[in-house]
Amino acid sequence: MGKFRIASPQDFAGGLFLIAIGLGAYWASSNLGMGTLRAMGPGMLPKSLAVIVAGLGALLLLTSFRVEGPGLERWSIRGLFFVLLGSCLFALTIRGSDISGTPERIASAMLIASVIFLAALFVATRMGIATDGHAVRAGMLATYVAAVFVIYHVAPVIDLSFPAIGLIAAGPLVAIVSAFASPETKWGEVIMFATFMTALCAGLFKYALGLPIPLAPWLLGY
Amino acid sequence: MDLFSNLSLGFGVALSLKNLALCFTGCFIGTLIGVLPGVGPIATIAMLLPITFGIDPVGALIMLAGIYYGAQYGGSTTAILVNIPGEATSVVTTLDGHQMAKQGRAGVALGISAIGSFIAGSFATILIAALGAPLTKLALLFGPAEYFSLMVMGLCFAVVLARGSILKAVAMIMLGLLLSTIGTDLETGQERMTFGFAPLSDGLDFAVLAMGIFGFAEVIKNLENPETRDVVKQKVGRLLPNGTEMRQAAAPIARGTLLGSILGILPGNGAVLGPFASYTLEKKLAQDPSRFGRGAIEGVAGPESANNAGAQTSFIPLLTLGIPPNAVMALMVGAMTIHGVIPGPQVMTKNPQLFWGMIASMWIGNLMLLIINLPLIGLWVKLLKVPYRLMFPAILLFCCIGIYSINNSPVDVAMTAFFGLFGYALVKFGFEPAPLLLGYVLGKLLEEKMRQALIISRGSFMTFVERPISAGLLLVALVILVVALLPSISKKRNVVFTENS
Repeated sequence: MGKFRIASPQDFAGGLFLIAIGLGAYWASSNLGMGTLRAMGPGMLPKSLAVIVAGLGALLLLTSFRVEGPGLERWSIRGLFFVLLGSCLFALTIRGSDISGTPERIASAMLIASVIFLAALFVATRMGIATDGHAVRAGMLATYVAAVFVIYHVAPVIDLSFPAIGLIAAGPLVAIVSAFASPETKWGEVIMFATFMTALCAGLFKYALGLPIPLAPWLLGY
Repeated sequence: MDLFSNLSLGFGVALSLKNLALCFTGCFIGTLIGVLPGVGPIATIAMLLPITFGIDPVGALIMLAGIYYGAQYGGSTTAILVNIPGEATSVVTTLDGHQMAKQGRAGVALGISAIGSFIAGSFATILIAALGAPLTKLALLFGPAEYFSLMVMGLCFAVVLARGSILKAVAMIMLGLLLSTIGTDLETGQERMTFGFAPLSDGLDFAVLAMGIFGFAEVIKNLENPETRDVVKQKVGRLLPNGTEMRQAAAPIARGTLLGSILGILPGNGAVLGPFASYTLEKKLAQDPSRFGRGAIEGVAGPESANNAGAQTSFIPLLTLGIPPNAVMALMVGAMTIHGVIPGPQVMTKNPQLFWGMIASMWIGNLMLLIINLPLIGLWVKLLKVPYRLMFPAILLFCCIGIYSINNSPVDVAMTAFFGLFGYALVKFGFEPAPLLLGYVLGKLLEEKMRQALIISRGSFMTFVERPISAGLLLVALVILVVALLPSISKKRNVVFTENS
């Protein structure tokens, strides 16, 4: 066999992914009682399933040493980032939010971290530092998670909140921010299309269907 | 006869002016969204769910069913015209359908698939009406143990039907089941894995999960590949097939309808198998198999009929047993619950208007597809020429508004974004998300029935094998798993052998 080699990097990573989820779920359900088979407690199924998922992950990890398979695929950070950023901005601004609740705090921490992260990435590519390769990417991910964690705990001190801008503004916002995801974007047509689509959606959802979606609270009230 | 009086009750409901209009709107909007490349029926329904909220239950379900057929047909249109399968079931259609389009016979391909779908739909409607009543009686024999075993069988089918490695498919099912345990425990009311996060205490909304994995992740994945969409430049041509083509297509339509109907009834998303099975069968039966892949009309007519028949008969497990056999039906469950209807054998007796009205509307919906799609093909072709760089921001906007409107909850939108990331990671690690969704769909019910069965049997797992129906279902599950594993075992053996030599 010769030297140690991973035959299927994709399965190897997939195995690690499953193990991480399994362990995380086991930890998250550790406070739940197992009960007995005759009267199952709330923790019986989550814990068993967590163990099974982690076990299957371990099995996948083991087979990845022997069975040949595909390599790791490149992640398109740009698409991922702007698509998710756009929709998170929609979530934060459609009705506005202060960052008192946990979800808003996590989301805004991710947002701030993302902006810093992008700026750093921009500087790095300008300076000619390579941002390719799995090790660099894994490092970037770890830094990002750490940044989110730090900002999450600092954010209440900064007191950041998002205004309620309603569909009229949040609609074009999600379309325009997510349009950054594609290198083929032409800005003139995106802005026109976004405005048109938002108007269409406002007419359809708010007026034709009467759904309680805020249009422009700062102008029309809720 | 009972069947006819029931159907006439149904047609009485479905033919009211309001319900006809709803059915039409559903089919139209469903096709409109379903035609967009990369937006399959699951994302379409999740997106359009809120537009049915203001309508009465019967009308809402008629409209949703219309949206579903529309999205299915829209997927086939995209498959034929641009060679992009909207979802798993139209993969086969791209093979010969797109070839026909390249030969300037796009119109005939679309026409025959609409006609085939209509015939298949009519047959499936009668089948549902005929099987509905006896299967509902069968459901009364089912205790918790039988329900549990039936769902296990469904999950085994899903494993077998998934592409790629069996191990990964099983892992996805288990992960789906694990995700379904998030939220408040049914019996004790204790919060499970919610991290004290209030929006999670009701559990994850299925639409959020489905939209994240099949909406957002799909968009991100599509953005990776530079635009290579080639909308056929050839003329669409005449729509109605001529006599020879009809004769060629008649037998495949009949066989496809039969195959699709049977496979659609199976729990565990058997409907996916229909088009593949039909294509293989037609190729085997053909006098000249080399024509397949080069624009054989049989290769469009058969699978498309199977596709539509399966889509429709997959309502049977939902309406009679209350078990959703695939993700689309799970969204239907969501919609029904919002309107206060709990799917299961009691729907037919308690809500005959709804049950038979919906079944009758299925037939009407199929007729409408035929009527609206044939003249509107020019519109779909124009829509398909809109470049993806403009289409994806619009898709995301629809997704955000749709998800927000389901519960009026901004947090849901953020969670959908998170599951978009999750779904993208799954794809990158080579996992197929469909089994995960099914695991999630069946998870809560599976746990409930398992706990009930074990309480009744005082903690003995023997209850699942001692009861004959339950034992039979588990045996089927075991057999299909073993059969599926056999070739995979031999393949792995081959790999080991080549390594040694």
